[in-house]
Amino acid sequence: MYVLIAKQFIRSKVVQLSLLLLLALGIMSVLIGKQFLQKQERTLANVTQHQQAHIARNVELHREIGLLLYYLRFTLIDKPDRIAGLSIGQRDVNPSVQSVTIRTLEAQLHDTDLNNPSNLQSGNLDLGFVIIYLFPLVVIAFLFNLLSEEKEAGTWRLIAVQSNSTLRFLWMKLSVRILLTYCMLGGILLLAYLILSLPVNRQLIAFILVAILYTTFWFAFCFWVVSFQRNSSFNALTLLSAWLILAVLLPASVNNYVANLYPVPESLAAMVKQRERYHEKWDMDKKITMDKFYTHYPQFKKYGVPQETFNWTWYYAMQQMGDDESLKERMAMRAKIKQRENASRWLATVIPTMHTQLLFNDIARTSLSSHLQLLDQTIEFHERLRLYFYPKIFENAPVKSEDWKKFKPEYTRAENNINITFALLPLFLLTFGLASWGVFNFRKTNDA
Amino acid sequence: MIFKIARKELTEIVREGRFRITAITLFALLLAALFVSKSYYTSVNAQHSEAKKNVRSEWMEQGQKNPHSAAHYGTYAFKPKYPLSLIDNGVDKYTGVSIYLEAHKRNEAQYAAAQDQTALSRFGDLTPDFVLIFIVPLFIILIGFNAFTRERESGTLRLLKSQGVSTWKLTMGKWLGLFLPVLFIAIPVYVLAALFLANIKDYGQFSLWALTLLFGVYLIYYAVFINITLFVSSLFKKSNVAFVTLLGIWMVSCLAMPKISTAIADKLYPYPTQVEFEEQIAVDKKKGLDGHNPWNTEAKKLEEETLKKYGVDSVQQLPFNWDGFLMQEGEKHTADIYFKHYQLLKDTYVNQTNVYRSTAALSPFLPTRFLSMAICRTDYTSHWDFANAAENYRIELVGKMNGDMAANSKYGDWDYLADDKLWSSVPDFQYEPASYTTVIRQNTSNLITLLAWLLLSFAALYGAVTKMKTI
Repeated sequence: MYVLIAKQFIRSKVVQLSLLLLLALGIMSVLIGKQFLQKQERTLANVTQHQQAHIARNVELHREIGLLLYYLRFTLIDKPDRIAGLSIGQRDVNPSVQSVTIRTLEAQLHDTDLNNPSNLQSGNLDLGFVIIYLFPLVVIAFLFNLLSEEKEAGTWRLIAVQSNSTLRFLWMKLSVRILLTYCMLGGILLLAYLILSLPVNRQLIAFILVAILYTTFWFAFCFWVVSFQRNSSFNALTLLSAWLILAVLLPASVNNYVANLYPVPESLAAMVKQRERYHEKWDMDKKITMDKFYTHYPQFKKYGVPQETFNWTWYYAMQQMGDDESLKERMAMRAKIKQRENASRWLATVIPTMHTQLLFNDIARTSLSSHLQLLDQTIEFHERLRLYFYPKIFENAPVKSEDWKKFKPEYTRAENNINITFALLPLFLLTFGLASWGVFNFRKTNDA
Repeated sequence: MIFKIARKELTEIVREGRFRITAITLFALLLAALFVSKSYYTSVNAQHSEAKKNVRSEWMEQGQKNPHSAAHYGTYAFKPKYPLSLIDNGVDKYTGVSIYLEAHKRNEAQYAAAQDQTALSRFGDLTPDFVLIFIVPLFIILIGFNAFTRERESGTLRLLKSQGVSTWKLTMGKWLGLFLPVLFIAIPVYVLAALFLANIKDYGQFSLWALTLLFGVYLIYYAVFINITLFVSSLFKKSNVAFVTLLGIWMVSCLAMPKISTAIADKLYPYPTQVEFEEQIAVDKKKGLDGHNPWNTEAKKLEEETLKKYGVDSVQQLPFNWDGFLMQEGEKHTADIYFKHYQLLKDTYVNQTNVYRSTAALSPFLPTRFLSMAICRTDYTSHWDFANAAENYRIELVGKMNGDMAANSKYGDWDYLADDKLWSSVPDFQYEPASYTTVIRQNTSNLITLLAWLLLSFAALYGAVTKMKTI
């Protein structure tokens, strides 16, 4: 019986077509993930190599340490994990590498990678996309006529007469489809594991769990719709509309809603203010700037107020003021972005597609919050550099006295502390609820 | 006969619940999208015009300053918004809106909206273009997938044939039966959009002609999808199979192909990384003239040449301020370097664009996508055009500052101050976008591809229905 059902299922043109398409796109997505990882690796290799060359060249060129540090850039890297190849997320928009001079920070934080925006607009065909968008379509194509095809072909009565339990028969049909889909998912994941040489760790396991649960949700959902026992065309239409709403319309609307709810005009304001505050210092009495600077860093008070027309201590104090005096705008902007992030997350918990997308990105460390963490770490990194170099500049230490070779790019890691059990709960509850409701519907009609 | 069939198709489609529901949904979606875009842009625009005004007044009221300091202080160029961007926002979300213009340095546009958004933004935006070129084809599939299979399943196809109705006439009737509902949605949207866009302020000139062109492109695109839908429906026996196949086609051409093309374009013509790009510029800069460093080799050479030219022994004796002159020469040199490297970048982008143009042969979505953005002036080419204009303005502004310093101050006199007169001699940044003739010329290949899709899909449909079996 089982084998017969399986044979009948696989022989169908629709099934073959969808499996083929899914497999092709799945493989492609893994290859695209690999291309992304290679590009990132190239970037990192470049950064390391260039930083050394860049420092060596500038050290050769400049005699004054103040002028030298005007030019020198230091790099902080948050290396993407291999698993980022499965869910590229926002890593293509937000760079993994932050290169900063010790001058005013604000404008440097907004540098982006060079990209063709048309490419960003189309987005990435990563495995996450295949799982979130395409697997549901395949599940729909497999299940929409689970019962109705029997009814429409007139075989349902025969089955009802011949088998002990119609529900058991349906379950057999269903399990063949579920099994095949899981095999497909497993196969593509295995390919991804081999091609991307993914390490087996908590992240990978979490990713697989989420992928399985998400697919199961769609099974439960389709089963629920089918349990109302309408005709094929009605089921197809309903399921497709549901897919469209869940995978396309709701996410777009929520994103627009959240973006409108928390507009971030502060970024522009912060930038303009930072420029204003820095540049006005050129025309002010040096003492005003220096007093403010020494209030922030009392440990440097001993360097006093410079008398000459130009002096590096004064110059860097002015640069510092650009940051200090635009701090309020910067914080306001950051708070807004965090609000956006939180609002999206909260709304997403009840919408499986969005929830899964955000989870995948969290697991792969490619989300907005990872980037925000990197920005925070960059601010710390920048401060550390400042505190290290300020005394040297103020004392006009000879350039040669510093061992410049030791300034290699630094690595950091923005950790996402996600509680995977808690994150999976909404998906699990939805799946369980829909499946039970579906079974209940069938029981009811069976008894009647 | 054709019209009779079309009328019969229409009655059937309209009578069925799914048309009413989907049409109403679609219409509501479009209105919502238009409304969302509008409210979003009014707020963004308000912020921008405010910032723009401030930036200009800051420039005008910067007080007395050394001209070169003023050039360092710089100003901002803001990218103007056009009415049609409310229909298709294109890549604007990813390009940034303002460019900081300062001495010695060409900056990239910053503050791309996408940077501050969560991954949800990648699902798409609820903007009219999203509905018009992404969702409407799905609507066509939904109402047309069983155009032939339904007749076949109920046996009426044989009946029609036996009565002497030619299959081509039948097809044309069905074609009209699909096209008219689409028109029924598109025309009110077009009229509403025209009324709406003509009445918003602060968005520059609205061109009805461009809007008409845009809808013309969309209608051709819809015709292509109608052809594909009927073609597939005529091939299969079962409605279900036709439906799933059409869904697959939609998914591949509208969802997967754009992403696949991106991967191919990036693979074949990768962009340099930011670090690489900046490093190459830095290397070139260091090789040449440094306007701030008179001991630099190139600067020394220039000094000798200039002294010889004027027949004097020292820079103090020159009729102009050597510092200002030297800095301007340095500026010219860096501008050339930027020009060179940005040209290389542009070559990569042109190559990538060509990849998209070739893959457009595999998906009617792509040429439509690019034409739509180009007509709305929100494509990457428009952004380049703006960035170039901003760079020219920057060169002019810095040149004026250095020129004033060279002409009106003495060598070594860094205390020389200029005032409002000089600041107001620099006009506000004005940007005129490329004319539509240029836009269309740049997109001829997209237009041709789309028209080719139309003709070929018609031909395929014709071929399929003339050979169609009735059972």
